[in-house]
Amino acid sequence: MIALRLLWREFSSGQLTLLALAIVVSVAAMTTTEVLTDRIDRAMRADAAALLGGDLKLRAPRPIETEWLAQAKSRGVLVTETIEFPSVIGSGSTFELTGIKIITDGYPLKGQLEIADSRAGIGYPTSRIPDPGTAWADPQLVSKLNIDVGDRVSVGEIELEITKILVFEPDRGGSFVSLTPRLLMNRVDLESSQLIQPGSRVRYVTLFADGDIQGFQAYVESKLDISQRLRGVVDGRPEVGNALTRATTYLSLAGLLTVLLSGAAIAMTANRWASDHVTDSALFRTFGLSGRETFKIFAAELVVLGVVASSFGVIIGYVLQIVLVDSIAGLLTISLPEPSGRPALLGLLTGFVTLLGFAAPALILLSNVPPIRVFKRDYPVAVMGQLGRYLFALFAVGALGYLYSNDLRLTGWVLLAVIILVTAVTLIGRIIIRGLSPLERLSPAWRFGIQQLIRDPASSGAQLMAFSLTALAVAMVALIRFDLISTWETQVPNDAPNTFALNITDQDQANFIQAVISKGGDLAPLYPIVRGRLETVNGTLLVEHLGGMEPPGSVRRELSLTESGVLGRDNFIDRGRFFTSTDGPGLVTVESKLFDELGLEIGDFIGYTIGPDRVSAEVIGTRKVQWESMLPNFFMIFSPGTLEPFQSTRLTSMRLPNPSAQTAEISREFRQVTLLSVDAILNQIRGILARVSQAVSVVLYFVLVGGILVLAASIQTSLPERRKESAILRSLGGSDDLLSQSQWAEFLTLGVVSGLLAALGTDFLSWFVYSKVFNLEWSSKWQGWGFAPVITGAIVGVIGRWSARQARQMPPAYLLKIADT
Amino acid sequence: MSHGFEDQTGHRLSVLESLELKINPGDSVAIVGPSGSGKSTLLSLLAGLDVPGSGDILFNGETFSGLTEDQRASIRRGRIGFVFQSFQLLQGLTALENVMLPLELMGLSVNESKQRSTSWLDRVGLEARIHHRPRMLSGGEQQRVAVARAFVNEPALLFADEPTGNLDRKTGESITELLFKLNRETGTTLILVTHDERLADQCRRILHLEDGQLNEVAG
Repeated sequence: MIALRLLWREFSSGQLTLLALAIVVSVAAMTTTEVLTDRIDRAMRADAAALLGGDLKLRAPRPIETEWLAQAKSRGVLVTETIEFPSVIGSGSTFELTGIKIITDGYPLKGQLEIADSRAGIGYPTSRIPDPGTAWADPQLVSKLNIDVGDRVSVGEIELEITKILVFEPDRGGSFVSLTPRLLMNRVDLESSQLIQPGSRVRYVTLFADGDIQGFQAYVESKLDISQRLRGVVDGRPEVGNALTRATTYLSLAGLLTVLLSGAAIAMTANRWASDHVTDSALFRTFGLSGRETFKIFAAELVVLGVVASSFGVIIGYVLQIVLVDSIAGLLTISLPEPSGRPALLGLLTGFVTLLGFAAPALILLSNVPPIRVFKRDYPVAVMGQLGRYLFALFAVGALGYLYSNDLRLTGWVLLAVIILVTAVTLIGRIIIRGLSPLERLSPAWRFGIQQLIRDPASSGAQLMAFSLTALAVAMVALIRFDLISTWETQVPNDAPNTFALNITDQDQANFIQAVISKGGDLAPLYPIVRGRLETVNGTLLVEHLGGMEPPGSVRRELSLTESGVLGRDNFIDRGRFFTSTDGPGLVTVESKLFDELGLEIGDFIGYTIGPDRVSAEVIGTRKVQWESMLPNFFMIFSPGTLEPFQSTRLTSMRLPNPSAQTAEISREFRQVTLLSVDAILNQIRGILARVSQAVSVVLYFVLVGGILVLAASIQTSLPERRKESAILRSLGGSDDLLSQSQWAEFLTLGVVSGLLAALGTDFLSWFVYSKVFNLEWSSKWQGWGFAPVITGAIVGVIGRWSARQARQMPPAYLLKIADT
Repeated sequence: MSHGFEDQTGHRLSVLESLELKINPGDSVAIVGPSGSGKSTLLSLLAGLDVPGSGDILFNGETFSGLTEDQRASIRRGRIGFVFQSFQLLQGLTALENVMLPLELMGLSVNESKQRSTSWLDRVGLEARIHHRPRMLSGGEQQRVAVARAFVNEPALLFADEPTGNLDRKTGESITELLFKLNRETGTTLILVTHDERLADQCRRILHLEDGQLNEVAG
């Protein structure tokens, strides 16, 4: 086929290198980020499934319908049923209200139980469950009953031997602060214990996994009644989830920016390619080819180029993701599904969409060249209007945004941002260019350089747009990368607490603090803990307040309440205010998300029952909480004095230099204090963040390469014009120095103005992205206003002058010759 | 036929007025005249690259009027060749590939195109430079490539627009010589526009175009 041969010949002559490179970079960026986000997302889901104990969890007040079990079986879905209810457990003369959980073989379907051989032992995963006649108790229960492995406890009508300490239970909801003691026992012992009596508050929790889980979910969802709740693996663990969600959002955003930059490079190089071929197209027509045939040849060239370059991009993308994702997967300690073919498909599609959107106008132009152009170079060619080009490009951006995010709203925002930025840069750019004329007085070289800019505002405006949007994209991605990573680092600092301590009594408090400090530990503040249940909002019962909707999980049971006059450093008030020293008792601040879920307003009064008593407090503010900080955090913090009348224990978290040995020592010394090590989770979060940071950095490099491509493309586009003008200047006696300096003046000015526009755009865009997308605190990067123009001025100046040197160094005769061809 | 343009103010400018011209197969015709007299416009009308404002042009009895550009292109296909003042070679292609192009566009195989093109490059004296790209060739050499390209599909009619216009005198002469030698050998009809009197003198007929009027000077 002639198109293929032409393509190969042009490619080997180097004419298509930049266009091909732009496609490769755009596709590689899209593929890498897509595979990264896709696989991290799946990793998170798998992780969340392990935390749920299965892919789906059904909670109901009665056993599951046999019909549903049959459905599950026919769909190949695994099932295990557990029964949960509160009951009093006794040891000697001590009794404790405990959450009992009855399990059968096969539990849990996803994730693993972790147990320890003694109170001070180290936890390890197991796939066993308690044997009949035995039970596993959690640290809280053993410390409250003051027992250890080997002791017996009375459970209903029978006695069970505690054989293991339950360290971790996958599907246990809630955070560290809302722990009730837990006892795990075998289903076989349920009947003889006679624990379940008419009127018992029993919860049947059925876990499902694998098979046609989606089909099964759809089936069950259509049959649920109001008392049954089905939960999927949508929310993972918040500590890890937050970091990963932000990382994937960042990757998508950065990937999209790279694609946009490469798109701009594709548009410019394709336009250049088209204008190089206008005469060729006319020539083809003189050979007797119809417009359609001419179009077919050029279109085939572009399509083949697109396929080949996109395939290269996909390969590069997959190789990079293997390096990046597999290292992340190792840290998630779960097996990842193999990378799917979807990102490859998406990568290829990216190639096509960018090529179509950004190069189609050029292609259409080529099929419309009248043959008379071979005689008359100035014969007008029907060029697609600027608006048409923008529409095509917008279509491409929109299609990519949607392909990428599957989110129409986000796509709309991206489109809007692109339109606003392009318009603003165009308008401000033109005004600035017009105002440059005073610079002409500096020297003859400056006069030529600046005139070059003023003479052709369309072309210099386009270059300005290319440079400033490139600088903006690079600045944005770099900014978010450094900010995100430093935010993560401050959220999970190296000295983050690695152990929680619960049940510290008033009389133990001083000794406990002393003991921790003597072991070289760092303590967070100690918070008094009182357990209470939310009953009323403004005097109405919670259920009525919520209009019959099920209340969020964290208030359905007793919640750990605290009071404090000091706002934790990982909390910040986003609505209302925190307490001041003049505030008395009777006020409360609520965690933001819970506040919204409860449909509260600032000024509402909430009522709690604490044992037999009631307490009411006015909501005066909401707090955003960084749960991943590992500091003690609470849904409700009351103003000092509110909880004073109630008996309380203390809770804190601390950093121990050697947690495994030291928790055992402290446990022995303070037997009633419960210690929970979070070292493993902390290490996991840190490891993930380190890898994600690497991934994020790789994307930054992509954006940089995209930026350089745009720069090169835009300068290459203007080369023929430059060559011609240099040739004329040289033939009129302009010295090399003059030409060199005027190029300096021109590019330096372009760079400085671009930097200024980019700083402006970055401030605007980062405000939007920080406050609306990432929920990070935003502050103006006013420093950028100073150094962005300097940096872009230097970069554009050096690269611009270097790339345009061709136009300077050739003898004028030669320049005039090629300028004419 | 007559032909004109509208200027920016909407005023009609007449370039060619009531011309009548008949060119026989195997003729060689030079169109001369001052700059801006419409020589290139006349050439592009004769080649069917544009249509006259009024009147008609017939090629081998086939009319160009009332046809779309694509239909006119199909009449040109394989039967009309061009040589341009600025050569119009594809910069990315070698000399050989440039000459092969019209044959390949007509659907000939690569091998056959290559054979025929190589032999034509031989005939124009460029056998040693067939793998050079246009930028590595002198102006005269580039025009030789263009001439080889114009003759390679053995057209019935060859249009040349100032074929020596971009060349120095000596090179121009050698191109002129080549053009007429090939014209004689292949029996192609040759229509050329030129300022170059020596070139015009070699033609059997010379037509002078001025103020929209065409006058036969010699023939």
